[in-house]
Amino acid sequence: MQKISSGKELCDEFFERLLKDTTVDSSITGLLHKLYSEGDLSKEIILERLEALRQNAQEDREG
Amino acid sequence: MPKKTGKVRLRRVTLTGFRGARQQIWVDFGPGCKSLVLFGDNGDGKSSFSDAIEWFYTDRIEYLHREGCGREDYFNRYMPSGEDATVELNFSNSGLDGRKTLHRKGGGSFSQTTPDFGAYISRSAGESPILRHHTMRQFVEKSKTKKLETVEEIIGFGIVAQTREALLQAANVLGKDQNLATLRGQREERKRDIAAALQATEFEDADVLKRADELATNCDPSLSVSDDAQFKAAVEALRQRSTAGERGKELSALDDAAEKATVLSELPPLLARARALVAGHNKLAQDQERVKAIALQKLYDAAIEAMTADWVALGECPVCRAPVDTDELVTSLRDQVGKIAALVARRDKVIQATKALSDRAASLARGLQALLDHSAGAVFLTDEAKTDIVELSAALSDTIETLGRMEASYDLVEALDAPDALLTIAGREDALHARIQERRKQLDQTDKERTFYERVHKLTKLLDDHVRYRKLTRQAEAYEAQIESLQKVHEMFEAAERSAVAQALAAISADVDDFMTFLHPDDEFEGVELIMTERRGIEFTLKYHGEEVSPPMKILSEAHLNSLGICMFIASARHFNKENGFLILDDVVTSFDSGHRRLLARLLSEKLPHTQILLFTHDDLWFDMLKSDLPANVWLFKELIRWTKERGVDLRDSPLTLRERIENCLATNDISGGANKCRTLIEETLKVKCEKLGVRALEFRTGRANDQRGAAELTDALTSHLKGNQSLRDKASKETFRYLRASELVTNIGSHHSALGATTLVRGDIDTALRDVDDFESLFVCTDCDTEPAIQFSAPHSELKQCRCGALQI
Repeated sequence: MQKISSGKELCDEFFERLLKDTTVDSSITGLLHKLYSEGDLSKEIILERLEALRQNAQEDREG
Repeated sequence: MPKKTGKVRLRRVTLTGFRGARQQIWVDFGPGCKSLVLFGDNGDGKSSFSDAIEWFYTDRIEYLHREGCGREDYFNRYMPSGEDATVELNFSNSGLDGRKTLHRKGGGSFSQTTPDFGAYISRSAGESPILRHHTMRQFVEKSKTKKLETVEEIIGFGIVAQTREALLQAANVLGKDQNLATLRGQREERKRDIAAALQATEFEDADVLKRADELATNCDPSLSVSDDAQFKAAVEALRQRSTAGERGKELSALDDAAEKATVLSELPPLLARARALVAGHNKLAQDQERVKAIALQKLYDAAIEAMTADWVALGECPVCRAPVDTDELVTSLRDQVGKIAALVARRDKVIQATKALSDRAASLARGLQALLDHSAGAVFLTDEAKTDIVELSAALSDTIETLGRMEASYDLVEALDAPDALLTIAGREDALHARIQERRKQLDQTDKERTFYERVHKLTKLLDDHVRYRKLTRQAEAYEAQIESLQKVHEMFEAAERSAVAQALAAISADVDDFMTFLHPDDEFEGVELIMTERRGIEFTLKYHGEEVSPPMKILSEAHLNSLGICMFIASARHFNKENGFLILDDVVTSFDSGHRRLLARLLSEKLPHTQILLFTHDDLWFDMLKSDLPANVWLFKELIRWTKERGVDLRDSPLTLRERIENCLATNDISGGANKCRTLIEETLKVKCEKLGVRALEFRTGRANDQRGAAELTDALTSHLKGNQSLRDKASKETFRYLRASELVTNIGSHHSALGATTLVRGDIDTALRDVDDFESLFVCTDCDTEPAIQFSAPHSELKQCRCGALQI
């Protein structure tokens, strides 16, 4: 019988592959991978962490 | 018996006080966890078992829940009101055995509390082991989108849907973030100011530095600007020089105040534009009928698609099935959809203009506040001017709020009033500039000084705008890059999901096609497949005479659609029920084509040899067929005993033959039950004779038409056949036929009258009918070889069929 990926297997494989993808900003892929691994991948938490990323980047630029 | 596959099978099911079970009742499947065929008439309580198993895993019974029944309805209604109900399941893996109690005071609790058991229940709750008669067509009849959602649920893609939605929503929310909109608005303002300073529409950093170099050199030929550092240094040096003395500071402040005052002249046209936009919005909003119709646009589109693709019969409304003129309805709906599209386009224009105006209004509000806060500005503003500015600030706030409401919905908004200050503000601005000019004169500013201060001011503003513009651009780009990344990740995820769903569909399709071919070997369709549709959805497709047809209801009969529902259930369970190795088919052949029901039993037996099957039926003919077709070492055959208030439902091992079950009825004085089964026996006997002799009465019929074929029809067909080939034409044979007809009539009346409580049949009538059946049977048996004439013993296309030895020909 043909092996069919479960939902979890699909997500696991996707986020592992995403981590190695060079066509997307690594800070975003790293963030999404981390949130997924920790079971925190929700709209609210993604937005919260993205805001922190923007703030950190701005602070870095402004020294 | 089912081989060990590692999946959990049922060893024993015990109910007490649950649904139809008043006293304790159980089915023991034996150490080998045999499959079961359970017979019971409608209302006898077969579903008590499937209900109990569903509740055990999911804590509710879905079909009852949909009918508005609650947990109170799970209790047997004749048990004492203080008693709890229990469902106990024993499994092939005894470590998972557990009893669940339905408490009168509320809730349910398990006797087992181990983590392994909890995990098993949780995993099992996501599986679909039960197919009921009223749900078997549900999947086939769902919309394409719902089919996809169902398949995703079946294959455990809940986490996939959640992940997809989280990515999509995060990208959407970020794209609509108010901070981003503000950043973009402020960036555009700075860009506009820089472009004005450069007298160009587009510019690069180099253009800004070139203009800065011109201004700096004109102020002081020793200065030059070719990079950011020199730009800042030049501005700093010139500002220090221009504000070196009190006179210089004041002249510089006057220039700044004059610049800030220019905001006042922008207010009247902006507020006028806002009032016009509000009026336009309200005009659209007043067309409430069409606004409401926007919500129905999808329905209109679907109805047009259904009618133009011939999914519904010509002349029939696709929603209510009432008779309509299809062409007229399609034209009318297309007209509606066109009008809605025009409304939406106008609304989009209003929203775009509203957004742009909101940004500018916010910018002007900040400018007004800056003017009020400016030291020089405040000094030269009269009290009346300040009052006007405060009034205009309030008007701007109202405008921004109203524009926001317009963006959010189609609802009417209050019209904006023109503030009184609009009438006087132009004069206030002129007066302010005059006072500033007067002060400049008092300070004895020379033309050279004025030019110098203007240039320093322009250079300072250019630096400020440029620095701010770049910062705003970086901030907006940070947002935009994140949005783009999220959208890309979402697209990649959706592609991965589609690929996985396609893989799952291919696997399910292969099984569904295999099972459908098994059930309908002679039908003229093939290649049953579930495919992804263009929009987010899936649909069945199949080939009929080599031509692709989708959806299948275009050509499939009721019975075929039932088959499709059953095949889909079995295929998905085979692939995706990873925990449990048992399936329950609860009365799924009620209207299933009788020509295919034996094949269904064989399909279950052959295609799912490792699965424990619980097959419930009220069809006693099929029950007898199953007893012949299914091996007794693998299958149990049980039937429900007539239900009583005191006991509720009860079970017993089923007698092997229909005749034995008739005897059982007679032994318990159940005359109407015996009559009913005797009628079935007569029909079955006639059907077997017709099949063996190739009587042309058993050609394919679909659905209930086949089930409803009665004994009288079969007798007529058989009589006509025998008359045609001059068999059994002797007087005794004719008499036997006549007696059988009479018995058929008697048992038919007896079984039907029983429902009216008016039966007058007695045991002797049934005994006579049984003797008539025996006599009839004996006409067809060769006394030499003890076989019946049949197609299989006869030459192809021979008119008469012979027994094995050839001595008897009929």
